[in-house]
Amino acid sequence: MSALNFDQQPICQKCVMPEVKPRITFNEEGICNLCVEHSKKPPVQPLLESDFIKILDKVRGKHRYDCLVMCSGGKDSTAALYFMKKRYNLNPLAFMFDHGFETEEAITNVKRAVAKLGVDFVFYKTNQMKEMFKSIVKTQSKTIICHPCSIWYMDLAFDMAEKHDAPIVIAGWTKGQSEKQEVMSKCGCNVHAPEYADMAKETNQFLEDFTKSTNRYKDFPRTMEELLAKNKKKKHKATVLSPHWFLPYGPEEYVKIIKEEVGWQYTKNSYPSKTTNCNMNFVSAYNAMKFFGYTHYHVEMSKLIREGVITREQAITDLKMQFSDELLNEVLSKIDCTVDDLRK
Amino acid sequence: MTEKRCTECVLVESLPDIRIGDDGICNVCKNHQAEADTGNEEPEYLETDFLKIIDKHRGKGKYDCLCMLSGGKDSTAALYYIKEKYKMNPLVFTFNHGFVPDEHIQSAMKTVEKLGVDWIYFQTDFMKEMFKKIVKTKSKVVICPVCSLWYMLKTYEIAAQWDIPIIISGWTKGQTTSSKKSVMSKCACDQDPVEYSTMANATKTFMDEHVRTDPRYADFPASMEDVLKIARKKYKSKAIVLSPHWFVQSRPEEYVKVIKEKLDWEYPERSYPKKSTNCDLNFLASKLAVDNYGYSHYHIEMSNLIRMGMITREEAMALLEIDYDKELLGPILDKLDCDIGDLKK
Repeated sequence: MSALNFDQQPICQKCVMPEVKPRITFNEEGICNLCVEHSKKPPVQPLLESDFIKILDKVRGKHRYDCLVMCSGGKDSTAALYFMKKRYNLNPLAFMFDHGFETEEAITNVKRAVAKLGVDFVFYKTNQMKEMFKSIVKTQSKTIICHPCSIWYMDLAFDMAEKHDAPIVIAGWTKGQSEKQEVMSKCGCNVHAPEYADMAKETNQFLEDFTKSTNRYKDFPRTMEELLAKNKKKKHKATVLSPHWFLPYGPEEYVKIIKEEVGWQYTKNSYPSKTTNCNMNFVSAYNAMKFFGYTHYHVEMSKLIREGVITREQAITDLKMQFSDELLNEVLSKIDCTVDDLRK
Repeated sequence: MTEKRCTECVLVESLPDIRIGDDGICNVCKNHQAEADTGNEEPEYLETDFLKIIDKHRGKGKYDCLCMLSGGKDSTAALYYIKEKYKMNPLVFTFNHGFVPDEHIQSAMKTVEKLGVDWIYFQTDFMKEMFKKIVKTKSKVVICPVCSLWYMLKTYEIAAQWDIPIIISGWTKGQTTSSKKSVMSKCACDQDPVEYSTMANATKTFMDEHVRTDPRYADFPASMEDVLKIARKKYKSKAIVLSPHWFVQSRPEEYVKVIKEKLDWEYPERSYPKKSTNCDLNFLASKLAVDNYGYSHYHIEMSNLIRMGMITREEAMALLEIDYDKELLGPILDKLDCDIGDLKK
């Protein structure tokens, strides 16, 4: 088992965030400032499916593909693909990328879904990110690997949408992974939220240095904002949306649908449990715990708890780190590293 | 069987194109011999010619070339040479119209993994309706040349999308008759030779009757010339198509040995002809071609190889034997909502 025992630290009584001063603090009742602030905010107006359909109808049939769906093989994106094809009767292009750390099970899930749904499918496997991952591990950078990777793959998704003339990029992002409307223009995590601020600073610093010193990454965007600004200048502009923002279904409902309709299966080993994240994610989560005391998944699940989508007990169970050195070594061997590089 | 087969190559008498003389030799072999006797044969292409072309484009874009990879021996070897011998940075492309066995895809995936090269895999049902029509209408069109129009156009499209100047295929010398220069601009089978003329006419008829009239295929190219035109005009691609096999004098058994050793490459369990890595639909295409013409496009290809002295007639006959039946064809026809009955004339 992992040498760091992460599960012993006290966490907020309402969500799963630990106390990390000065940004995350607990009150006398053991409740974090994020939960306190959330309870003061007026409830967020749910987005309506009719709004989503309005956006889709505007582009329907006018392009080579109606949308590009980013598929990871996980439940959220598989359900998103299913909805785009079956619920909204669109002509989607399913897109999956593999930076060398995707699991065979995840790839199988996507292959099965695209075959069942009869949608076109592009799979892009590339070694472009390996050198960056290696540098992050070797230099003991505090960068959370998922962050530069998400900048890379969003850039890639926009690029693919342009190459295949798709006006909408569909992600499988859940309500917890986004600030909804705000995210439509920002993609993924809001790095300015207090939970992400310190992590984002590290990523930014690393990318500044790394892209300057490593020629093959010289055009790599340093931030999501930079990437979005770049895309705004392009002739082909794609909007990023997730059907999950607009639909009232929780995961258990759509998991049932995709199991039945497209033969989707949970992967055996992924962090957090019941996700389908790539193998590099184990390293990313390990480092996040080591350097910050929580992972981006703690942030996401805390949001889902506050929104009433999942329970705190469920989140605690799913977030347990049960991966071994053996597993970490296997992943790290692909970038010529070992767990010793993580423990320095 | 009462069929008359050429005693030099593997073509069968099929009038009016192929006539076997009293000496047992077909007109194609005779023409080949006559041309050889004039001494006007096109000079062999040299590896230095190939190097000149690739060096001109090397390092200018994100990728130097787009390598078409089916997972078979020829394209796997072509990719291997491009990466390891010519030190190019390729993007690899594998397509699947729904009839490529998983085994072939796995083989392609293993190869790109071993070589550490980037890979695009594209899967679509776009061609299914057309394949179905070919079977249902009992057209004499040979499936593969029609399909090659589609996949070559797709390949040019991807080359254009990624701004890639060279397309590398694994085409062997047998797939490229007569002038290589003309093939570079025409892609794969040169349909002009007499062996293809009736097949090419059937293609044209099918295109006019069943493709042009279908809105789904309104933009489908009518010929390889058309593919090139669309590639140049619509996709703005200037890409040229090359195969290292045209320039390097190595025999299949030599490069099969190399890729087995370096890439753990293996022959797939099932494919027609034997020792090839063709898609499942090819079983159907070849059977229909033999039923309709007495020979398939593979008989043409292998006859070319025999004339070039690259394989023996006995080897070709063994590889070309059709020893599959409805048990194998059944599931393939199923996918097209067809059955064995649809194959009857």
